[in-house]
Amino acid sequence: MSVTYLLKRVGLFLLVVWLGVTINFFLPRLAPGDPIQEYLGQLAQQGMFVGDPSAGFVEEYRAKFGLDKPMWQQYINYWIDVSQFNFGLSVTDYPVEVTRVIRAALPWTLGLLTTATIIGFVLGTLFGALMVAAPGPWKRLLAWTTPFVMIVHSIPYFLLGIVLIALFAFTWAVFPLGGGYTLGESPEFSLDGLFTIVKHAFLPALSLVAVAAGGWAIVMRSMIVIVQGEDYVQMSRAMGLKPWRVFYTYQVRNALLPQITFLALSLGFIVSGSALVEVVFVYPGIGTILLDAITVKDLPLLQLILLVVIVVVTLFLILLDIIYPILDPRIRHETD
Amino acid sequence: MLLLLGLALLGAIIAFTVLGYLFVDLELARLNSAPISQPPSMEHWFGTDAVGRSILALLVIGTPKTLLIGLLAGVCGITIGTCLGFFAGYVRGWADTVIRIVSDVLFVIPILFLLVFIIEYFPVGAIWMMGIVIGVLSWMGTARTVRAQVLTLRERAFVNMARASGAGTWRIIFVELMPNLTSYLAASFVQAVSGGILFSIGLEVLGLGPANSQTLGWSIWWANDYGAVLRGFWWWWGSPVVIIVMIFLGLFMTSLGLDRIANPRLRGTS
Repeated sequence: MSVTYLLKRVGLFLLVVWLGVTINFFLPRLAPGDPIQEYLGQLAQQGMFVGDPSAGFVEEYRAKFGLDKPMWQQYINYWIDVSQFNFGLSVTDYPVEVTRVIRAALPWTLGLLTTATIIGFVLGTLFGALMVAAPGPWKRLLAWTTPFVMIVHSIPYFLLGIVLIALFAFTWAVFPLGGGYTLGESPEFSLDGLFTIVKHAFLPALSLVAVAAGGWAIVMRSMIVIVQGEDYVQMSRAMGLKPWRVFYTYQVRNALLPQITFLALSLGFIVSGSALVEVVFVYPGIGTILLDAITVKDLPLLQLILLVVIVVVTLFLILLDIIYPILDPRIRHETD
Repeated sequence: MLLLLGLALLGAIIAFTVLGYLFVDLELARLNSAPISQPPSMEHWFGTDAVGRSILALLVIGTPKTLLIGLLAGVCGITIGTCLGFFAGYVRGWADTVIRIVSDVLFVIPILFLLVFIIEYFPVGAIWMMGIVIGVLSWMGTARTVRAQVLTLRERAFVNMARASGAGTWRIIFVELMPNLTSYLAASFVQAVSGGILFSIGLEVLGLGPANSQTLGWSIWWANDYGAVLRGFWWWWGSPVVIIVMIFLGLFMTSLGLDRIANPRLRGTS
């Protein structure tokens, strides 16, 4: 991999990050509605006395958040603040720093989604590979489960979440109905605390794993079928290598390559959370916060979440670019 | 085989709506037109909800609307994606770079954010607008793969042959390249439709989009809003979920079937 190539790539990625952040900056500001009014409206709805909106304190708050300045100046100020890692205060959670709001939600989302993504990947890939290459009777058994896998994969994961709640939290109350921890308590670091966390995360994770695993399985199955016809697999078979060895070293490893790409991408997107699952399960993660930030137009919070998402996803894209030629020597960047 | 099964399932869903429009009293989809919260009975096959609507009538009205959103999103997404993919792959140079950067940017921004945003702030009044908005934001995958296909195809002997015998750019694109991509495009069209439906239902379950459009997603939103799960009204949320799963399963099997036609190697063992 040449240095110029790497530099070009990094330059392109910086451009993508800049464009993405810029869009996220201007889009909410160009839309109708004012965050302060929006927030006051929300307070009033909750029965709070908000006073006379004409009393000038709306203006005061607008000035506090820098919303009274012309757009271009807000934009420049935003980048100055970002370069000093000053991300501002949340409008809805005033005066809490947005970094704190995010830090409270991020562990929930990262914990839930990383576990679910990895379990889903491992199970699905294994299952997909075995669907083609399992020994005799097992293969017949797996063939019977294929329609089931397809049906589960066809359920949107958030609807599967509703079904799971109805079955395992309502009809048989094995798991809690929602939330990340027992209501009103804060998580403690003990075996008991861990158990409570796992118990709350189980159903949301299951709905994510079941649907994702089906997808991985189907793609892996077709990759294995494609690889099966390759010359090197025929060759290794003709050389009399043991079947499991042909399967593992020649088929699975080659079929895994494209899967790795998608795994890296889905790991990158973990930071944006899964708004739908989090909403269905009332899970205190980034997805819920992002959705709230959009609906009430909490601009500082919105900007920081999206900045984090964009940077992390682009980082994963770069990482993939660097790792892929190492995994698959057939890909060389010089010829790109 | 898969293709036929998938198409049969989709056909059954369309038959369900057509028969429904012919034989079901759609007035029952109005508020208070039926007794409230009744489980399925002879009179109301799929039961009624807590605001006195027949679930069957709601499903008959909602299914074609949800399908329409998906179709529009699919048509928009595939059309834009194919055009840009061809453009990038065939013209290359600056066009390739610009399209790549735009699709990278859209790829990196969580698409749900853009959708929620556009739909929340620029009031999307009708379901067809929702379909188009979703389509306009989901062409990147198609563009990327079409580009890759065009890049390999354009170096093939038969394309060089056509070029040598004086065929123009348009002729090469439509007569030489397009036919090689049809089965592939058909498969990704079906996937795009299903992706569009998934997005629209997701948005509606979050309570976003045209609120009085009575699509399948909205019936789930209503069920959720009235706590149907916790009150044990399984027919209320269960029936739309079953229809939605049937739609996705039908589309999924159709696209797998088309995939096997596009990529004969996949037919190997089945």
